[in-house]
Amino acid sequence: MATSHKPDSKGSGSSKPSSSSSPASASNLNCSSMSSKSAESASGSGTDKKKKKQSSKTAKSEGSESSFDFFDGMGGSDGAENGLVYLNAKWDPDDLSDGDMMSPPSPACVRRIKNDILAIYSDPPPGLCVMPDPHNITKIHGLLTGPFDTPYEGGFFYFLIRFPHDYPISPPRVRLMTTGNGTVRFNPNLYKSGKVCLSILGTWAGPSWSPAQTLSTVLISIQSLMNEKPYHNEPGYKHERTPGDSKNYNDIIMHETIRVAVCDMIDGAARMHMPETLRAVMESSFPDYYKYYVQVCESHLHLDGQPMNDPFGDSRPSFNFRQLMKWLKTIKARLRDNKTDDSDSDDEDGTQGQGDASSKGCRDCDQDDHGSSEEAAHVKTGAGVTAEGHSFQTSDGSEGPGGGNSNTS
Amino acid sequence: MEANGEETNPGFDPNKNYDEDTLAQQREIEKEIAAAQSMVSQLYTFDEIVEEYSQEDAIYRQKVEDLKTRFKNLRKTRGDGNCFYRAFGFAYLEILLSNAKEYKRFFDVAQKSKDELIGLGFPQFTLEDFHDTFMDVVKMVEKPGTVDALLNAFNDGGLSDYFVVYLRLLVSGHLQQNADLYIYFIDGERTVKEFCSQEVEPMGKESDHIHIVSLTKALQVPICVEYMDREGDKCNSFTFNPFEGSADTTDPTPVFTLLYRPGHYDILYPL
Repeated sequence: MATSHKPDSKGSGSSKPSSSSSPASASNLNCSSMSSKSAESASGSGTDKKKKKQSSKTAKSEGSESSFDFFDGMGGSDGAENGLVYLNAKWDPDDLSDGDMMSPPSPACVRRIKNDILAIYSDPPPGLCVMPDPHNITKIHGLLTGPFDTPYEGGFFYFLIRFPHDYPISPPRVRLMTTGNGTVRFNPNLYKSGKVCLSILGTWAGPSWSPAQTLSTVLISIQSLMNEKPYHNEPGYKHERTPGDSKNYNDIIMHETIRVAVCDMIDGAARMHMPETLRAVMESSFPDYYKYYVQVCESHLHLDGQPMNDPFGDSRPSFNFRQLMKWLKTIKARLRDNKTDDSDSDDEDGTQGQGDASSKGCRDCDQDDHGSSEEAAHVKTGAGVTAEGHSFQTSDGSEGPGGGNSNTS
Repeated sequence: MEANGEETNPGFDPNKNYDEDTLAQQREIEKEIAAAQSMVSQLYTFDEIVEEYSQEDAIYRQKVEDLKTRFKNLRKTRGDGNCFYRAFGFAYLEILLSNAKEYKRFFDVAQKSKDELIGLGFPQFTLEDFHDTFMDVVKMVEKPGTVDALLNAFNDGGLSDYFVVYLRLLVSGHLQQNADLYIYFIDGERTVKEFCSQEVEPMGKESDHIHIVSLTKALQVPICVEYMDREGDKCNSFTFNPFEGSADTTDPTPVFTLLYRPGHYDILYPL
């Protein structure tokens, strides 16, 4: 467990650049790559569609080489046929164009949603936090922390989940919000559009949704997409096309995790309208992961300046771990400053500042096995509040417009 | 853009995936058709349905004639992949309306099944939810129940679908509990558990022989299925006897009969 002390005292002098300059530099990273390869980026934006086409084509005709990997564990042509039908299931939680989303949920549906949330609170899977929307019980905000020993480690992946009115007969719809504004594809199954390709969501071939599954099942399945070698998630890429592809892809994902799923998430949480509680979770986890982030950057500095050659042809920026280290340092200093503003003392575990109380309750997002009674107590309180359909606010009521400003100034 | 030549159609957007649109549209249409059918219909005579059931060819017409010699009526179920479960559920509860002894037996089996399924690892809260609704529908038999009340329940999306979900879980539970027996009847390299999560538990997955065997065994209910396929000039009937091969001497006379046309199950009522 890294404490916030040492790195801070080291970096406090150099952390001059204001936080607002950091996102700018991030967008520079994007812009430069876009303009230099506009042609590629155009084809890149079509990759999602190409892929969908490819997958439905594979499901139809079994001629191509990739179909074998594709059908792995799918069992029979029956599954393929059904897979095809469901592959293009509506997935976007913000797509309100159909009755599935517009009709009010039945009491049974609302009861199930609440139970799904309670189940997560009472037995929280590691690295997973959820928060119901204060205004709409059918909308859930979820935060997955990238699992250990994967290129996603320490990343904050924010998901928006909506339950259709006939949930749990139909599956929920899920969108990944952590996409660097629709520019980064984090995984063969996590498109930059935010689409999550998962058979139980009806967006991928394979076993479909069953009503006995839950919100927790969905989030754990998504988490399992973020594995040690995500390269092989792509159908037809069971074996490396070019030796080193998988490692190269991991390097890309590690860079993008720190750039987009850590730095941009913490700086851009307000832009994404992320609930305060989840922001607090990220901000309280950040110092614990800081050492790891820096380690990743330091061990990859040799890649700086090289273009990221995405094995799937996606357009990507060039590696710039040095810049990421600066950005991390800036964030660290800022979070520390905020904390000092909020509380008088600055000892290790910190007197709880605003928002921190709630993040403590969601500590499982750090994947640390605390299991303290304090945590359990908080979880219970939180669950109780949620069951009544109210927001899962911090105990001191710090949620509100003011909270956002204090973090961006 | 115009110089591109190909894009002469002003409404054509090269970035759009029209395949997907077509599929989505098709799905919508299928959904609408399904929604227009009742999940379990009123009673029909064969004369009322003969056109619809035999439009494909004369063999079916002949088979409808065959059915008429043994059956009086038929109830249609919605063709949404859940028809076997809905047909089974409705036909059985309808029989139970006039068989208090069998109702008592079934009630106990249904009551007990919850803990067995939880024991198999289904999440307790989801299972309880489905079981509660399932039992609510079952209890309609003793209210005292009427056919109309059952028909309403089976056409109420919430109740009817939850009922189907629970029957699916019963099938899955039975298959998993007897995995060593059923593994030989599963095609493809998959475990019984995988088969259940792929072919049994998801809504809309059609039922095969193995599903029927499993449900009749799980609930100890013998049923008959009339197969209206293209072979021969009469329907082939097949009895699913859950007591076969066991020491159980319960009367294996089928409790009710379903009609199978390729891909679909309806309920038959004898003369």
